[in-house]
Amino acid sequence: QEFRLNWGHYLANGPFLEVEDEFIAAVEERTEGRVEFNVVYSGGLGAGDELLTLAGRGAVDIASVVPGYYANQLLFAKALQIPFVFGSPGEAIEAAEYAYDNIPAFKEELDQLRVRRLFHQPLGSYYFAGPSDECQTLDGLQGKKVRTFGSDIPKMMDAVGAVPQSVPAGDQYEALERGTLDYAFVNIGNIEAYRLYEPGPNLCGPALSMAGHMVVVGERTWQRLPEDIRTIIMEEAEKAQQRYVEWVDASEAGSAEAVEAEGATIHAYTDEQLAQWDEAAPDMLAQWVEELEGRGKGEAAQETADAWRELMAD
Amino acid sequence: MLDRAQRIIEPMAFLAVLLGGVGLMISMFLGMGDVIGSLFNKPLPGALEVTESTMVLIVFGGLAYAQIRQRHLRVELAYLQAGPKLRSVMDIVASLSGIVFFGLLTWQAYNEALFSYQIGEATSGLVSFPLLPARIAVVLGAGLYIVQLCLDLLKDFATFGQPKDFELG
Amino acid sequence: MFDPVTAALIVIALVAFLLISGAHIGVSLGLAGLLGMTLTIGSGAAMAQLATVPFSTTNSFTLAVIPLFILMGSLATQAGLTTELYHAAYNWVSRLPGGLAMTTTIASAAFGAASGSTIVNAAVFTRMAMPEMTKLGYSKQLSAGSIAASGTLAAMIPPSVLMVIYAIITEQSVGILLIAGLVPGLLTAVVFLVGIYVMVRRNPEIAPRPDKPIPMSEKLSSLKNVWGIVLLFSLVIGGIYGGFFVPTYAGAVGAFGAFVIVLLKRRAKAGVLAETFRDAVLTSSTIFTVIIGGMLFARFLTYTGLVATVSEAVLGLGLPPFAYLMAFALLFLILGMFIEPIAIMIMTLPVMFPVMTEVGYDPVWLGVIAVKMAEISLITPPVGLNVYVVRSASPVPLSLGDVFRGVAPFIGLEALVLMLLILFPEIATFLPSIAG
Ligand code: NA
Ligand code: NA
Repeated sequence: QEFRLNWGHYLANGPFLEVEDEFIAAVEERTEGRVEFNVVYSGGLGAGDELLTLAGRGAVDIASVVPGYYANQLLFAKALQIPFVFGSPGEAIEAAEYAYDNIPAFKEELDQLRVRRLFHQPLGSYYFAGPSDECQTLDGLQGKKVRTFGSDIPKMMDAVGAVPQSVPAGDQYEALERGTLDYAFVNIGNIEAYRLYEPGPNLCGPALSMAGHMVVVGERTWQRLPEDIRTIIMEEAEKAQQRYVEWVDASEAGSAEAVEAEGATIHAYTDEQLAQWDEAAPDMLAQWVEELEGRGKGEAAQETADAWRELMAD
Repeated sequence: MLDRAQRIIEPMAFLAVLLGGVGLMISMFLGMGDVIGSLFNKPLPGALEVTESTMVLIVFGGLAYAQIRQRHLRVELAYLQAGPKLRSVMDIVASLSGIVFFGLLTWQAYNEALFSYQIGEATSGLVSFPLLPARIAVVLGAGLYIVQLCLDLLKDFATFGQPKDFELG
Repeated sequence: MFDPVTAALIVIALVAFLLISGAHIGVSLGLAGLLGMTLTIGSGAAMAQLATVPFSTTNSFTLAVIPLFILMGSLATQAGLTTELYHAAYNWVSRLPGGLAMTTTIASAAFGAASGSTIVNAAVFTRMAMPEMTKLGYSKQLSAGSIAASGTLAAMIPPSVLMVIYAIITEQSVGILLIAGLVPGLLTAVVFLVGIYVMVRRNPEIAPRPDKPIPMSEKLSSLKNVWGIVLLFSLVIGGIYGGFFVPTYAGAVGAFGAFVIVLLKRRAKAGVLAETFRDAVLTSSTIFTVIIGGMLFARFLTYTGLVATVSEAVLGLGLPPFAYLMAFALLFLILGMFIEPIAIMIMTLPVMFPVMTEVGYDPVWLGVIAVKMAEISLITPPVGLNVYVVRSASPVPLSLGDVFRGVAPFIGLEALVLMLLILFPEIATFLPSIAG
């Protein structure tokens, strides 16, 4: 092959990454073996907080980057991970596509970091998973210890009276088992993968939806690739983006069935309950606009917020 | 001359360790505070982030003083068998390789610190905690270590071939 | 650009040269890793890795348990807790050949129920047991060897960082795997106890025994002084199992507990206390230098894809299942000469795991085997992190050679346990099968 592209992934390989596997297979096939991917999972080429830098400097060719890990670099991209903005994984992706097509600030921040966006991973909606079924109501969540990460989800838990806890992902299972945690808070696919339904058979949700990691290619690598290969990669990226949304819905439904078959109970939130949540939590999109104002980027942020609100209202 | 330089560096290295020790104490109290707070549903915001930063202080704060105390890990097997001249050569290899590695590391860490300053890098959590101090700790800690290694290299040359004590532990 | 094999050969030659010349181990591994990356993907990539690895590795909450537990060990020693424990142990079990080394093994296994990291266990017990054992006449090698080897028990006895990583990479149940480690972990401890007995029987001068029996009154009175260590262990272990905190916080709780005991026992002389903190910093600093260098070396190996290539070639041979198992073990052992177990798992499991399960090996059992191999790799030369930790944390002068010679018999015992696990897989699978 002519091009061996190192792809740094922070996640372990698994059925979650099916669409990315398909993307890889399609590019390899269409370039007739001129491109070959060396995908390294579980942070083998760089941990979650290293990959963006590594891709920008050409140390990895492609990276799966979680915007929330780079709150100071990806000022715009991280907005795709704000809770209570998007009604479903599909809407989050729609918002991403809109932003990267119409609001230059999104692409510009990536240019500065010397990476290009290929596509976004949509995350399945988040559910609480814990031993007790009290997560069904906001009242029931009062004082409950919930595992969170990043900056927005802790704020949201804090706002509704739950207690956000920082627990390493690998410790969740035992923490639930021993009561150090009352609830994990992740998508059903992860609840299945980590088997969190064993210590926490009561699932409540969907509580929120957002975009997951972003697959980027380093600018140096991009400049190295001939035009025809770039075209193939972009075409396949677009297909992967479309397919990812359909896939995540199907896959989460499959996981839901699987965990129910293992004895878990899914308590679905009603629209009223979701509205209650929305009301109790602060307007984090507005907070984001405020933060970016402080960094002199308020205009583009406001434009984004307005556009997204309009998009979600339809 | 070398002795005087050593007398200047040693207190600085000691200060760096001291800061690391203070960091360690802070992370001990913060961790305990967070555990107790969590029992009453009041976890300490920022405990995790501050602990992470103090880790950097501990690791890089200790580098130079560990060198002074000959605490860095090396395979002593051949060294213990070697005569005075060979020992000097080995010491020179050890100092030089350390200078090259930590020189490159400090250069990169300096760039990272600069970038961190430019973007106002801070942790994201319930509280926002600046990462610049930890970034600077890497540069200063590794930098001080390089200075000590250079001094050791000069001493290696100055005392080439003379028998020297090597203490374990 | 060099092809991966040539680059790997050059790099290994450089590591060997630097290690033998007595360069610092972290520096040797780090420089070799940088050279390898430069040769295969370019200096820009090597420098980018050097820019991110040191900070990302140290700015870590999960690894913060290491300095905190080291601190706990030192504070416990300062409070005299360990002197009292070993004094009582001396009174009760010193007539038994190797009784104090056995005490260390049992205490380390018990502490393994709180700590998920072998480094932590090795550091804690070097701090606590090394001075006491040598003071009571035990040879440095037996003392250091039993500490380094028993330290690895923390990886098998739940909780275990390695088990969790295995479970995540292979998509197995974390809970089931953690349970699976319990019996093999205890079995290993028992084999160590028997091994120590035999070693001392054959070579009595490494563990001198008192000439005459110790009177019961003295035995009983020494017991009343062990409350400190029992309290400290109960605080840490009970806190985790009682759901008061996750293992990541155990370091802070343990250090704090020991700190309070130091104050209560009025042993908090400012000078000594400052030295205790300083020493914990120095030990952590030297250990992390090796971890950072090792990480850069592992990144180089990962770039080359050599491990995957070799594994795939072996797997393509169409061998009987047992040969695959041996290949897996061999690969682990070779990689374990230079890099630490988490990196080895990330490199080998994606290729090996699917094949191994396809030829019929049980995924849970395989997890136990992988962790056992990891334990062994932590005490084998030239890069054996647990051995380094003992050397680095020891308050008693000690050479790396002393520790490696000391653990050598334990490597044999580990091999024996590995064989038992292969012959009787139920040791690992029985408990999970009734639990799940
Ligand atoms: Na353990
Ligand atoms: Na080894």
